[in-house]
Amino acid sequence: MELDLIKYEMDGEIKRQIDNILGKFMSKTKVDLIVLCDDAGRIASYKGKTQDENEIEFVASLISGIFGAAAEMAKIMNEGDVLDIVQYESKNVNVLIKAVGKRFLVGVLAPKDASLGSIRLFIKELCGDIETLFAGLKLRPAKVIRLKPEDIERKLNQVLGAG
Amino acid sequence: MKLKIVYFGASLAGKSTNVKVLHSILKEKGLTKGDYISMETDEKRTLFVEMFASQINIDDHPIDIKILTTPGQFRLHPLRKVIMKGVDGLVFVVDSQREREKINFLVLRETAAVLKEENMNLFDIPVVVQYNKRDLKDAMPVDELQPICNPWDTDYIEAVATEGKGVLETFQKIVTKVLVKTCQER
Repeated sequence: MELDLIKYEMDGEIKRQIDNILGKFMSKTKVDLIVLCDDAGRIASYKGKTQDENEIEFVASLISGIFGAAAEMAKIMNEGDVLDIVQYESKNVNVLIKAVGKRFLVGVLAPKDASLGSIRLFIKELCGDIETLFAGLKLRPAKVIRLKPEDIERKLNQVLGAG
Repeated sequence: MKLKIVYFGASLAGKSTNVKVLHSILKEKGLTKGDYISMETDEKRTLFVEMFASQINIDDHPIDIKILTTPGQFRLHPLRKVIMKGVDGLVFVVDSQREREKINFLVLRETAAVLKEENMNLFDIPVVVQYNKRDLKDAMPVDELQPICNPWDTDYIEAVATEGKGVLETFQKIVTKVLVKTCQER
């Protein structure tokens, strides 16, 4: 039996539209970074001053972790409560994390001089736009590799070399 | 393709050691992305998470893997729930010492409950059991540990994580299991 290892990607048009939505938000608010990720911390898209993908991978993980931890606290304090926004301040940065639908999160890192009121207003608009887009989301296979289970083991052994 | 692998187990079982050692092994092979991130207490105990990212290529197909640990202390239960969200594969790090027999089992039971709260079933997720601390005098024989710590009857690896023994083997085994399962589902 042959098995397919498939990488799925968002439909190109939807990806482009998400990038546009994030870009529009950046230009309106002058934030340092905006990341759209799922609740397990996997990046869907991002825009920002930093383009270091490794750094943003970790930021996405922490966005999901911080939001998840706050959601747990909300549930402990008030059973059935659903968290919508987490906001905190450090000396140099304001951070906002907002739920987008049930599975996605948007995290924003803004400088201290950015208007939080505007950010909160535009983030609501952005979430609405993304939810509308996600309603029509289609995944397409980006690449197919045909592998047998024993080939996966052999190829991983070539890469990792655990024997 | 993006995978999330979580190392869970009792407090002080060696989860962080596993992940730290794995990071150095993979870094030497040029298979890591970025640094090792750690959120520890002053006593060097995991508070929230320790993690790093790796990328391996199979037939020029990049596979991004995030490797995370859960905090082992019981009081940190809510944080374990957060780490487990969207997990693709689990490594159960078992402290082989006889005095830790009960705690290993309790962790297994608690993890099943944590996953159930997230609408996941511990028996549906690829798992590898790692019997760690095999070098210690009071390490229980694997035959005795198996019925307590391996209800899946899945593959197990004997390890001494502090010396790097069994660390890479465990990782390779769990990635293989996750990929095979992913393929079968498609």
